[in-house]
Amino acid sequence: MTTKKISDVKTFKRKADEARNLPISKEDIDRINEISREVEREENQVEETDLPKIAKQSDDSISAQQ
Amino acid sequence: MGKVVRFSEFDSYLSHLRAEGVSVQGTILDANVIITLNYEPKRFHTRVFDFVENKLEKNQIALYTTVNTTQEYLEFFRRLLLTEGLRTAIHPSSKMNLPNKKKQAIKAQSSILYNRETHQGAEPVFNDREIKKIREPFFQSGQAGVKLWKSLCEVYLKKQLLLEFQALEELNVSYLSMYKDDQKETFTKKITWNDAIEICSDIGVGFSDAMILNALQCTTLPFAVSLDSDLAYSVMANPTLKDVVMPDELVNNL
Repeated sequence: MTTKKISDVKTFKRKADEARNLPISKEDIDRINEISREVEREENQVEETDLPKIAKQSDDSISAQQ
Repeated sequence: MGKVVRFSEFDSYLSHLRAEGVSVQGTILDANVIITLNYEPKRFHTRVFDFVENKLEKNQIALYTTVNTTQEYLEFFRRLLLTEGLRTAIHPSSKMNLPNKKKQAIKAQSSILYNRETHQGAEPVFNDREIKKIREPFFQSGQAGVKLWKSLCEVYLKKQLLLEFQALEELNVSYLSMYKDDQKETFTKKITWNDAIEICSDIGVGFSDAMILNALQCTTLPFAVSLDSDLAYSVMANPTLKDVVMPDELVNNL
């Protein structure tokens, strides 16, 4: 061992804490909210196209009454 | 050799080593020591922090790790950062409005975690399975869902994880490697998988522990620092192994 590297535990802890407490910008929040709306729009479209249409047929309603 | 040493006994242990002419250039840290140093809710945080600062730093004892330590450290912080981020995102005070189904997926896993925290004293960190369960519904929502999950990772994980890694450099931990020129004098023999398997199969300890003990055997370093009772049990069961230094409470409970 030619050079001995000695640790600096206080700086390590301080820098690690800074990493964990990075603020989230308004732009980031707006971007995530925009994508969230996009996801909800797509999910609603899928749900609408997935609705069972067969129950609306007249034959079915008749058989259901019997 | 082959002792389990309490933190409180370290001063006399170190004096004894030096009196015997043992060179105490450095020590190997287990990954759990580095994670605990950095994360206050961990049970032994204060004791480990004081030990590293007042015993290792002050005595100019250099810190070494094995190759898988950084992986274990980053893996813990990946789960921690995602837990804190996702829980913040669905908190009532959050300005983020995630789709309801995604919020429900986070809430469901968060409740499971909360139960574990309150009933088992577990740390507030999702496990990998819980993160996968949360991620699943995002990927079931097509490209927009994938984009949303990626954005959450970018906001809560990307920069933070890189900074956590950079913070690790402040600790000046060196990887033990036979191939580094400045460590050649530290090694007394080659590290081999056969020796690691021998240590593992002695009492069935995990490989990350076996690798630490094996690396220690191959160097002039006299002891490792750990919070894992497996390391202590290995040393207790095999007098040819070197020493392990641990918090008093852990040693008392062995």
